[in-house]
Amino acid sequence: MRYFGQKLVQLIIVVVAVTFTVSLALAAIPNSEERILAVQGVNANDEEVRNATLDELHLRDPLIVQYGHFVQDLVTLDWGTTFGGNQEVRTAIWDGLQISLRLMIYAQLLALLLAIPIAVLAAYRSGGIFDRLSTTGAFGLISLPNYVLATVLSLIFAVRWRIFPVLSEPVSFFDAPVDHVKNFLLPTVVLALPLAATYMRLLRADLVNTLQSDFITTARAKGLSTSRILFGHALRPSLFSLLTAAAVNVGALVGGSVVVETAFSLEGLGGKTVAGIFSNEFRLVQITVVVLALVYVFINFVVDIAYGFLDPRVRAGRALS
Amino acid sequence: MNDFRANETQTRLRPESGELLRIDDLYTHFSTALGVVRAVDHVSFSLDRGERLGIVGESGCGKTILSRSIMGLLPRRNVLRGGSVVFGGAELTTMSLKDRRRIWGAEMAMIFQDPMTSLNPVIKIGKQLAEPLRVHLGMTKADARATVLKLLQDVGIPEPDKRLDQYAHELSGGMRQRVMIAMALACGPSVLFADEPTTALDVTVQAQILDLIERQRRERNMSTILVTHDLGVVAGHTDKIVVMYAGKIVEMASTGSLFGAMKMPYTEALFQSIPKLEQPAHTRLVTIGGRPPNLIHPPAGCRFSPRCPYATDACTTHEPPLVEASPGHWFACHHPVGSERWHEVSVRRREVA
Amino acid sequence: MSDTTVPTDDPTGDPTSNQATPGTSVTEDSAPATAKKFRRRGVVTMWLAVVWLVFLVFTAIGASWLPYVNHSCDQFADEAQCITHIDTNALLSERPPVWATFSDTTRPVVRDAAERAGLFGTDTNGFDIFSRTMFGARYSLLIGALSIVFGILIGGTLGLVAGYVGRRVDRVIDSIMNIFLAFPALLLVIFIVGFFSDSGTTEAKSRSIVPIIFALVILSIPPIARLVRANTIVYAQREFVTAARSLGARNSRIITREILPNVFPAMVTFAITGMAILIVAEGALAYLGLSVSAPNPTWGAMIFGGQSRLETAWWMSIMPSAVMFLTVLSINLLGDALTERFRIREAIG
Repeated sequence: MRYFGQKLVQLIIVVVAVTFTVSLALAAIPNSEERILAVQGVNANDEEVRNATLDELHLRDPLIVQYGHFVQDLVTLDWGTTFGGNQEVRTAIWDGLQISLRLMIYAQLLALLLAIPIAVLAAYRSGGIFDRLSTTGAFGLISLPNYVLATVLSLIFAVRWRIFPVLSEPVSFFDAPVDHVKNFLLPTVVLALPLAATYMRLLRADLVNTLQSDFITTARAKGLSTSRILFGHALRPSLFSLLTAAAVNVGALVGGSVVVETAFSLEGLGGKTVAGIFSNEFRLVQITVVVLALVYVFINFVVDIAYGFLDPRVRAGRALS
Repeated sequence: MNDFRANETQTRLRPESGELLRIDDLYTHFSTALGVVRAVDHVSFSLDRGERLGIVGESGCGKTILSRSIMGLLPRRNVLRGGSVVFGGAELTTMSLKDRRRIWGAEMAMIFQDPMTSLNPVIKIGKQLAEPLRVHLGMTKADARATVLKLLQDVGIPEPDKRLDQYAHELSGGMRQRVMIAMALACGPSVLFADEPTTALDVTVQAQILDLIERQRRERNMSTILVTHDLGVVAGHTDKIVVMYAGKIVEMASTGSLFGAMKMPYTEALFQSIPKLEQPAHTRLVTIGGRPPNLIHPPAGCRFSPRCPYATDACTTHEPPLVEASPGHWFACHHPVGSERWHEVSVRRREVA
Repeated sequence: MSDTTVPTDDPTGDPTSNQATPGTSVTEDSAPATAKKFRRRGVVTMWLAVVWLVFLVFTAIGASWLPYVNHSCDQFADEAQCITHIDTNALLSERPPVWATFSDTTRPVVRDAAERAGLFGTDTNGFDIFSRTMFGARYSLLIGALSIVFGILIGGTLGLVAGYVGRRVDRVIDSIMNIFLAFPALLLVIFIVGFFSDSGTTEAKSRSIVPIIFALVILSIPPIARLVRANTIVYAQREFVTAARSLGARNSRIITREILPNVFPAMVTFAITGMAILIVAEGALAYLGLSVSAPNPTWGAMIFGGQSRLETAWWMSIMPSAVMFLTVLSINLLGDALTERFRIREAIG
């Protein structure tokens, strides 16, 4: 219980710090005022109009007041409109979130689907050809930056073989399922492959360890089949590191797939952030970053708590394997 | 209990009496980076239905490998095996893995030393217990559950229905071992291997477990092979004892004969190293001097000779063959207990002590 | 009585039996044998990695003296000359590398062998991609190295202090680290770089190396600090520290003389893998257009720029991609090999 309390306090501190930092980052940006005014097409030289615009965004108030407004706006979901003036920040973020969430879910599923069987096979014949090949492959994949992977896959599948589109459209699954798959497949694969490599390494290491345990000998002595031993007895105690990593990645992926989104021009949250930076859409970027950071923090918090909760029992289990 | 024996395929391998298991010239060598480890080096003996066998020796003498070799529970790479293991008329060493798997758990079962690590920590006890029943006997979930409950009762676990949903770490050491025994006995095997079953348990619990095994053995007319380093354990719970050293059998006899008229100096040494109640306090414990033998390059001649107080030159050059002292009592020694040389040395030792 | 378990190799018959069989006693330690096997396999790849990295560093340094010097407008005295160069050399634009073969290019003119140019081909402006890549290497390597060095200096110090002094100082440092760790990594870097670079207008954003290094340093400090702190705590509890203190050594001396040498190997290994990560991160920034701005050649920017030309001039993206991949792979292999060496040394001695 004390563990939970500690973590909760930490969470609150971090949330405050994050929102504070982001809200006040605005103040540290060089020439922020000029840039904002320029985006809004406001004449910077007209004193009255200039002050009015800045006041609307509370940019001339003392820092603490700015922070207060920021938090208030954040919580009440009053995120304003983009400086360019054509869209509500809320809608923009919601659109982006849908794409990012989809990508994240697809990528995680694909990664797990790939990683688990490969890891099991590699661990079961540990040291054999398959094991060595998959370990080397995983190492190579991890060394491959995702923009490079995106380029290569794009070249092969989109350009040469023309199976998939080079630039993806966020087609809804319900409108046109086949197109949806076509559009989302390459980005998903680019995200999923390095993920799968990491997961596979984690799981394989734990599995190899578990397979040395006494209870596996017992399982063999019971006359159980190989698949039953592997999937029924060895897999479950070995999933721990993998699940922790996957859980953390849920948060990391939503915000961290910027590159992939840019590569395939899918405007997820990451893509919107970058676009916002280039077009000086500070507000949009602020909100996006805060939302992403808070999601990430919250998920990590849940993982920490879950760890602590599972730990006494898992500790007993882990001590044996 | 009688329900299981009705299974057709099992009766085939189950002579109800007479010889059940015959091991002939069994050897298991491991090839390693440093050389060939002769873990089990040409071992032969037999076991009747309902007989209780004890395999005794210090750590590293090969007794655990022996029990695994008999079952066939070894890795295939880097293992050189040979000899024959005939179980109820069927040759185990040439059997396919699939067929061996049908026997493991169903006909031949093994319980291990540390029940804490030998039970899967993340699967409920009930499921682990039911597994052999469902896999080997094809029972339904409901039937398996009922059988498991009865099994738990038989092994003396209170509140069995509660235990079914518990995990291994929620039970005490003794209870865990009982669960392991129940799991091993589930399909009604005809042979039970017990590999150091009491070593990890409290002394008070040890006796209970051994009694439990004995009781089950009687009820099921099962044969038991008890592997241990503890002579005290075998004393009351075996009919026949095999003493192993450096991968070889050095003495084999009925329990009474072994304790009453032991021949091998090694057996004698083992016996002497047991602290006895009658000895006065602070009596120095007797140990066997020297170090355990190197199984890659075992000593020439008799393998025990470097540590034997009665060894002579002949012992280091000629390996003593197994000879039968009296019917059923075999030993391998040039200067066994009771021989001239033995008397010579014993007198001297008593003088020094 | 020592019971060393016999190492069993890959079993194939009964595959679930990956266990070492217990109960066999071998008097010699088998660790040297297995260590030797590790070394054999890793050495070749490690040396290949070293060779590549040395080659890259040397070429990057000597990039100005490469035969194909035309790589960007920076070489020309003034703007006009550059434009003239591009215009008059239109034919050089997007030419494939000399070794390339063609099966299906849509530009018939380049099917002719005489039309190929350069080791890596040329880009849209007629500049040689090989030289551009090597100049780009300067940025990647420099930024990566500087960032990780500063990261270690700052993060390492924070970690040492936090681990050694403990209690309140530790908690404060930990909280600050947590704040930075609260942001998804790339996002943090983008945020910092995107906004904190000086720009006159919304047009021509020229960005210097400083904000990038600043952002990457901030990115690398928390993990380094955490690693160093954990290691420091372990060593601070050892007897030799207590001994030194009892001899009257000052804290700073203890930290530098006793603890630091022990933490050092872990730090160095982390630094190497960290550098690889930072190079990738810089590449990501460049890809997004947030790194040192055009016309400076950076790997990421080249990869991005070439993406629209994948059909007609794939070398524009693929060649820098290949170089980047090899570089990151080499650094990772090096880091891995070092980890192995330290681990084995720890196990034996």
